[in-house]
Amino acid sequence: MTLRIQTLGDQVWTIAPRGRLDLPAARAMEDALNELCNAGRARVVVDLSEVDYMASAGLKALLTGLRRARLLNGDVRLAALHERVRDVFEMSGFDQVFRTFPTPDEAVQSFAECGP
Amino acid sequence: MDQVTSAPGTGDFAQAELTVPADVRYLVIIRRFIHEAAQVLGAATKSIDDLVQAADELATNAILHGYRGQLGWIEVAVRPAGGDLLVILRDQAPPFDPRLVPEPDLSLPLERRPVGGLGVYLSRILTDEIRYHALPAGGNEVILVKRGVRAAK
Repeated sequence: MTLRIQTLGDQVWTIAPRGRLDLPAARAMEDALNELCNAGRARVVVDLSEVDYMASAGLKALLTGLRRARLLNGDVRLAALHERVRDVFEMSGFDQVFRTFPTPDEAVQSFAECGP
Repeated sequence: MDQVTSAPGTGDFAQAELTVPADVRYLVIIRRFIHEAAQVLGAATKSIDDLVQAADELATNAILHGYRGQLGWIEVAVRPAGGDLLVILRDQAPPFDPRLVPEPDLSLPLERRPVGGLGVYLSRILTDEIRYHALPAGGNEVILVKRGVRAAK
């Protein structure tokens, strides 16, 4: 799995995993989320447009990242969930925990509109 | 040409098997194997995706919490049973019955939500039945059942 990280105006950071989020890939994403939080970059958008499989390990990595980001007054917001991934979010109740958006741009924009 | 009731090699005696080391780097092989074998056996795409994820979750658990870094193997079999499709997972790790894992409380607030047990929970939702046998010589056998997913021949 590859992982692309980029910043938008140093305010919001985007992580774009690509491929299948099984346990090894989830660990890489959790590390990336941790590094951003360690650097105080706690406004993060995870662009899931190129993720077609999400194991529970991926859910756990996102939840761990979300908890850390919110402690730093930030948030982890998700964008462009495939139908299969959305199903897994709903089955596990994670759709109630994360804010999700149709596109990465809308997710990034949401930080400007209402914070935190 | 005579009408056949099932394609050769896809009847109830057909079974595809795979053995891989108990290492998370092999999870991708397990997923691909189940996907390909289930396709050969005529399962519907959505059902294949469900079985693949259920097996991935339980194999991940066996490697992480069963073997705990010890050397070992994960055996995977894909077997038809009439219109049903079965995925069988075997390991030689200490006994673990996934049916006994309590369901996570999804209504808990974020701070108190436990992250354990989610994989087993998903594997239950994604399948119609999970059977479990402690193997006589040690180890576990878990059978994931998806009903009525094979196209009638």
